[in-house]
Amino acid sequence: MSQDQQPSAELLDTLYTELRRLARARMRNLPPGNTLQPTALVHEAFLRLNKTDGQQWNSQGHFFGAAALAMRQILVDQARRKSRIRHGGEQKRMDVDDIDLPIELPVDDLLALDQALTRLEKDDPRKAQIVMLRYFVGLEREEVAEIMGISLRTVDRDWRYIVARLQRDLEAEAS
Amino acid sequence: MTDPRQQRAEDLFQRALDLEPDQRAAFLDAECGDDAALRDEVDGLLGYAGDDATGFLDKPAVPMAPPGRRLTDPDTVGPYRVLGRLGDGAYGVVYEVEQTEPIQRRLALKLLKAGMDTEEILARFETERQTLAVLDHPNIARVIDAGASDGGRPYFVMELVRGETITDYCDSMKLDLRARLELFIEVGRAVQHAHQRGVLHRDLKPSNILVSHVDGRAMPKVIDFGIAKVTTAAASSRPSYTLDGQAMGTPIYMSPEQSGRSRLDVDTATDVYSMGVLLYELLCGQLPYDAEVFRDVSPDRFEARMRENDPAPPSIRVQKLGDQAAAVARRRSNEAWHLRSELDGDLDWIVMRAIERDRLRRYQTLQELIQEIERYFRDDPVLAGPPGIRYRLRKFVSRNRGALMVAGLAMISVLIAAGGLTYSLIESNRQRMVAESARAESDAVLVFLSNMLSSADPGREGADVTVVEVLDAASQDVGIDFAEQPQVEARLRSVMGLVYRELGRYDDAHAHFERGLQLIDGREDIGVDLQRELGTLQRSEGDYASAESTFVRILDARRQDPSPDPRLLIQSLTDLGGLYVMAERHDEGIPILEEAQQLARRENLPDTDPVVAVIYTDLGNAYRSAGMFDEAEVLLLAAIDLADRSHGHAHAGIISDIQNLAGLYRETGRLDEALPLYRRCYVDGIEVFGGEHPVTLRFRSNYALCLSDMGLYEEALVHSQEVVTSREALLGLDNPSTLASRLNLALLYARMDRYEESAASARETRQRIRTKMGEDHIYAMIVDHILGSALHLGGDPTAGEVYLRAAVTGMREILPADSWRLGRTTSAWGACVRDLGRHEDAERLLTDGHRILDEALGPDDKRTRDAAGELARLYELWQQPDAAAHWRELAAR
Repeated sequence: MSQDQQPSAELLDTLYTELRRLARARMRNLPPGNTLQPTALVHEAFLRLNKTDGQQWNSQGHFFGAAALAMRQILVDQARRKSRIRHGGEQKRMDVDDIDLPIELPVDDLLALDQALTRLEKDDPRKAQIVMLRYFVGLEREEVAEIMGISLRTVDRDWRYIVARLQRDLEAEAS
Repeated sequence: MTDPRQQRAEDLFQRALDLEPDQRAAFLDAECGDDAALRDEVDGLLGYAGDDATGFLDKPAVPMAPPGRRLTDPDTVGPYRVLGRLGDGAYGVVYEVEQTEPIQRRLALKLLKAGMDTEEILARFETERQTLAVLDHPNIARVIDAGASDGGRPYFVMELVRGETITDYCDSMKLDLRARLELFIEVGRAVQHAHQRGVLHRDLKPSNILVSHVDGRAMPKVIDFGIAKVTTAAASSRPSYTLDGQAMGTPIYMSPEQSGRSRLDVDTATDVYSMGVLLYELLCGQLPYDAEVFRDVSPDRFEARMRENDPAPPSIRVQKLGDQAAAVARRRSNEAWHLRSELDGDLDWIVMRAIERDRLRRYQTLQELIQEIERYFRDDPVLAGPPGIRYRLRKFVSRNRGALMVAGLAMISVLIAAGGLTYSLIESNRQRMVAESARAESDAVLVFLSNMLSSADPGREGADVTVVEVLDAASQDVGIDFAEQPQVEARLRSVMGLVYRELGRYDDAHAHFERGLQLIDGREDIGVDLQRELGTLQRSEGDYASAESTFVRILDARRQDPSPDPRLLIQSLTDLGGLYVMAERHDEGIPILEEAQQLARRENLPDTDPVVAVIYTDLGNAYRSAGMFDEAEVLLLAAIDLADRSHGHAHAGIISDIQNLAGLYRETGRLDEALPLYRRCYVDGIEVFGGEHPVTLRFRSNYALCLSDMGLYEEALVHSQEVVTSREALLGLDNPSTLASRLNLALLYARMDRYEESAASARETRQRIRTKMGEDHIYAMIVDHILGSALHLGGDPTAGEVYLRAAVTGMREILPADSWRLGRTTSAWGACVRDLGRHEDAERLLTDGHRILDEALGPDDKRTRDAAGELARLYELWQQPDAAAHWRELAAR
């Protein structure tokens, strides 16, 4: 992804807020105990933001990159909060605005993944971006290839390295 | 910037992965050389390569299905603007689209994949358009339009439905069975609505039934109505498509008549089947058939595959899930054992009938299926249940438990124990019209019974009103209340008759049955039921000759039916065959029961069919009485297995089958094997029926008998005495079962050498038996035997001989000449005569008794050996040591 596609801090903030707002609205309408399962959260955010702030997005890729960053930030914040509560740091002092996105990955693993991803970004930004788009936005392989302007074969080869490396790092972190 | 060492490691990792696994070590040896750190790095990465097990990255962090709009998706299809994806599958893709003209609204657009005859589909859609337009139901998503995309692919446009598939919804909401069934009924009504307008769905499955949560309640919508007809009709002109491209992908939800080659011949029963599969899945979280069953199989083999993989009822599937059962139950806000017991019975029967492979055996319409579930809700008997009033009464009891508790435990027991009246006409498809009126009649019957029982309310009638008094009062009323409705009166009389029968009031039972038969003179269908009841009564009375002619008459009538219902024929055969077995005429019973068995096989009736399951039990008992113990054991074990599969542990059916097997073991001297089975029956009986229930008391009584056989007299005595006390309280002093237990107690005292108590007990019982059951009842002879022997062994052989002579004389009248009972009593009489010093008479009687026992039971049976022992004793007293030694040897075998 080229530099001009990096979203501005302001944009990220908008997106972060919007995603959380959407998620909250969704959760409110869901019966208790239910998950966000059928919600195309990012897609909806895109439709919404594209309507209001259409000009701010240079491309679809630009948007998804920003969405991935925002989503990652939301999840990491959520994990840190949970981790603090679990360790007794912030007993029940949860913001009413706090939302819990349903995520299968345990809190500690998500934090470890965040760190491993930060290292990967330094070593190999392209691969880190693939993870961002696939894992945090949920794009398909083909879509990642199209957005990033690389071949599907490259995505697939990168992916098998990414999976091995991140899993190794996570396991090292855990032990 | 990319780290060069990482870069190098990744490069080696990628190149190694491109090699075969066995070449990698050599490759890395060459590339890494002495760089151990690099080698470690690459080896470490390779260790995680292709590791799917922990592949957490394969799924996005936050589930986002259905996915948003793909970059590859078109912007528009026809006049519709694509907003995003709702789902995709083998058939193609479903988009959420926006329509701007004539009104602005969001819709769902289903774009089929390429390769179909678009023109044909669109032509067919035009002919269907009118039909589909009449579907106007809140739970049906309307199909609005169809067309072709720029690429020539057909598409359908329908009302937009947001929601989860019905199965996902139920699981995520953790709906319990009741809520699931209610939701199912709502969907069923929608499908029924379409059926009434001549539209079949033909592709009902969870992904076509979406549920959203609106205003705090579930809102199901059936989508794709009519589309399957349009697409498969077009597809049928392209045979290759039917094999692989089948929009449905799997035939699991599709009826055999539809998935097979002859798919033109479908009717509402095909949607019933699909709904049945859905119901199966909603109830137990499993599909009746594994997808593997249909893999690589051509459609014309589907049905054969289904036959080879006969699905188990949902309750059994839950049982077989083992550890996973808890998770399935949790998704139903339930616990595994309880879920299983809720499914067991009605729900099993309903769902299994809905997914019958033969569509004629299925519910014909969704209305029927819905009504069945509603019957289950009301605790009414379901049509798919076993034919018989026993089951209907059980339902009646559970529906009216409150009223019945007032009426007293005894009545509940009696109602539950009441057996046998078959609503055969309801079972028979070709008599559907008759069945409707019969059902109305049976409802009137149950209302009357209910009123009758609630009149036992102590507040109104005084606490001393007994069940029998209520019944007696109702017997007076029934002729007046239903003077205008002879059919209803006949039904009522059949029910009241069998309650009297179970109470042991055989005369009153007779009166009701015979009056009932008069009333319905000329109505054969109901008459047959009453005749069956009468036959069962005659059998209970020991009047085997009358019972035989009754059962023979029913059987002949059913045989003459030009198109007999095989299940009814089997039922008549087992009635008669079972009677012969009971009358110890197993030579006649066995061929009839074997005929029933062959008929069931020829008709491909499942073993789990209650009518068929009875054959295993009856034929097993027949072989058992015929001394064919090996064959008997096989069948009785199969009967238990069968009951286990269709009911599970601690169910009435299985317990009585275990009881039969225990009886077999006891008879063949395998007491060590029999005892634990008897104990289990007794313990399970307490669980299922309660301790003070006639059935439990029978189990307990048999347990006591087995203990006694094993010489564990003290323990046997406790149980035996308590059985007598309980039966006296529960059934009355003169009830046949009460009297039988007194006989057993007297016999036990005799075995314990407590002859005075034995004689006292026998003497009192004798009087009651002769008064209540008549002098020529088998019990009258047995009690004479016991009393005679007690007197004889207690030191008064002269008094004893009077009774023993009477016993043998009577038995010679009513029992076949080769009955072991006759042999045993003859031997007892001989022993008494011997001790009176009349050695010649004794020799004749003892030899005769031994011969009968030897023929009936074989030389090794304990009873035969006992008789040999008596002979040995005779020859010892008679000073004939050689003969004595001979018999002593036989006695000691």
